Amino acid sequence: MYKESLRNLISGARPCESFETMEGRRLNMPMPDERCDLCGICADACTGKAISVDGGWSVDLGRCVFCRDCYDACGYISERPAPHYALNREDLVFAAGKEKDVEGRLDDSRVADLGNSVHIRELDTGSCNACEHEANAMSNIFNDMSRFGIGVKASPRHADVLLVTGPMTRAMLTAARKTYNAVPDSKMVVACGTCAISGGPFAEGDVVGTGIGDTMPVDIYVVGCPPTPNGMVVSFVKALGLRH
Amino acid sequence: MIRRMDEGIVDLGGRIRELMEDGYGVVCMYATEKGDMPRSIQTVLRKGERIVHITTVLESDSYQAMSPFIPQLRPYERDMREMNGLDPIGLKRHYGPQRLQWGYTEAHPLQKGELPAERHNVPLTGNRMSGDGVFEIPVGPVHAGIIEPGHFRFSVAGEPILKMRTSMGYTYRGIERMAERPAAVDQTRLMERACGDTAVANALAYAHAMEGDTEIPRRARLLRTVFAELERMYCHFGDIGGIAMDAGLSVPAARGAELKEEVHRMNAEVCGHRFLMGTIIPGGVRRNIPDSRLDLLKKRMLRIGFELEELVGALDDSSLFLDRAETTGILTHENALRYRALGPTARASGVKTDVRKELPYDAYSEVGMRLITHDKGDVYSRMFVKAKEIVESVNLINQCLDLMDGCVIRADVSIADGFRLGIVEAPRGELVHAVNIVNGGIWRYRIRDPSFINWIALETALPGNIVPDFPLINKSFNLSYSGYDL
Repeated sequence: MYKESLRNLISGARPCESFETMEGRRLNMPMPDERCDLCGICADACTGKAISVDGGWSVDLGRCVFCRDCYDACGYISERPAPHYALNREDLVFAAGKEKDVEGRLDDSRVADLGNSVHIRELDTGSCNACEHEANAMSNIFNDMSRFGIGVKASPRHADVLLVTGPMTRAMLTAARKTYNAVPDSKMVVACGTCAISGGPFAEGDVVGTGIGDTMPVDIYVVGCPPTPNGMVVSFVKALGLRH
Repeated sequence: MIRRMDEGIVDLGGRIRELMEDGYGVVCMYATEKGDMPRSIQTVLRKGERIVHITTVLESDSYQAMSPFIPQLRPYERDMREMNGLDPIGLKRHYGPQRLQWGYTEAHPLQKGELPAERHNVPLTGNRMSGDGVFEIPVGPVHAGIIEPGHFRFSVAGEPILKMRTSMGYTYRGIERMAERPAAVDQTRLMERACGDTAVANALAYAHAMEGDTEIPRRARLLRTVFAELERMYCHFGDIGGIAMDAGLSVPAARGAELKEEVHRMNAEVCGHRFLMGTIIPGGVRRNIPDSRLDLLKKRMLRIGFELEELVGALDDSSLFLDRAETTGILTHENALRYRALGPTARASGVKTDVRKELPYDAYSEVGMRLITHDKGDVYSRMFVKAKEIVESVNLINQCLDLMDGCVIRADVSIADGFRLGIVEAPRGELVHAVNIVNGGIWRYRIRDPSFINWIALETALPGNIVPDFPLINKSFNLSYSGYDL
């Protein structure tokens, strides 16, 4: 980290990390090797019920809280780099032994109006505050999101993208709807983190639906509990086709 | 160590007052529903390491209000009204933040059985100021910055704030209700997410409550202390950076954010999670720091110490910052004692309170630390206390790393019925998990976040300050919304 910063300083670039470095630093997801016999130990150990062994092994990154209990439970499970984001909910389910690239780009018709800048309004619908810490960290000197044209706006009326965290509590529903309606068309909604994607640990709690997908249409699912700040920046850049 | 008492509802107030005159403070008070156990009020008081637990069995759903003559009980009486439907008779109005959907409703969220699906938001009631030139500024729940949702109303006359009213509950997810499961189920994942930046402290308090007297392996105790202090470090770095940001100093703000990120990355490196989630489990720890990594951690600690000095030096040298921070948002010593403010907030007002000192848990009894206090109670004092506490955290981590030995990191835990208590010092102050286990199942799980009390302290520190200073004061208190709502 510091080596790269120093090199950037000497070469006259800004002391932040390159896009490639940010893209390369990923969360890990579990994946069994060929010895797996679908015994289900990992599924029992999984508190988020992300792992399923019915009809083949699969992990749902939309439910995973990245607690690594499954690695402790079974020696056949190893770490694989996880995607930063996906454009469909189904793309977050990974079957054993199958590699797939889910980090696509949104339709040109959706992103054409954006040009090379995108403005975010963050909406907390009952998260635990970790996602907010990470969203704030997008602007620190390592990630420096403004160099990619990403900025945070104070009002939803000035925003292109609604960055939603949390499982959508009942109390927040009205405020969330109003905020969503205040964002001008064509808006994009980003479900940030496990709570927003599937309700996560709070799916049985005082929340509406499972994840924010039941309340508003979601365009980008950012993976993580909480997602890393570099992962969020990379998601915006790649999904919206920003210059990097 | 816990002294148990039974007291009738009529004498409860008198007993609490008696204990308070003896130097005790109310740590937690909550109500239990009828069913496996009688409807009751549970009160926990603490003086140093002496703890008193009073059980009061209730005959009806109302009782004579105690908070008019015991101010410390104000947030608890409101909480019992909103969460359990217990009516305090004779209380003219409730103080402190109001929960959005549960204030003065028939249904209450902790009642056993189904909850009504229809839910209405309750408007903020009571405590409103009116008069010539007095108007109200509503703020939230969706704020301008990237923070959690909460609704504030400032009564102002010109620029100075006369009164702040708070409506919380936007992040109410029902954690206490969800936690009512068989006690043997490991719920660390849920507890960690009660408040994301207090993940270790919440997991620790949960673990302490479940463990009881189980002997925890020495390495696990030392590792827990290291994790808890790492968490304190990133929280405090974030606060100092945030205070600098709200005072309009972007370079120290960026430095603070950088150091915070540095600690996050260190966390990810030593235990695999940037917020240290998934490290603690009842009976020990889940993640070991291998001996080869200890030196690395030590080196980082040294550098962080130097960089902190530079950051605080830059703030101390800036007259602009001192202008904003000094004499702003004063929480007086009297008010801090009156409402039993907690954590760095109370220590900045000269209250010597720290669970790590008074009731040492895990490895805190083996290591030495200084209790940092300041006497002014303003924004600068709180920043000062937090900065010095980072230095203390560095020292504590270094001491723990020196003491590290053994290789066992987990013990077996058997959970017995009865009243269980876990008290730890979270970055924001004393955090309490109180659990009633009946027939192997959790009947009532109470999480008392430090922010639960400090929101009231914030309301008392605001009057007289101008509206533009509110973000700065709020940041220096750094209160948790999700920890309050649960």
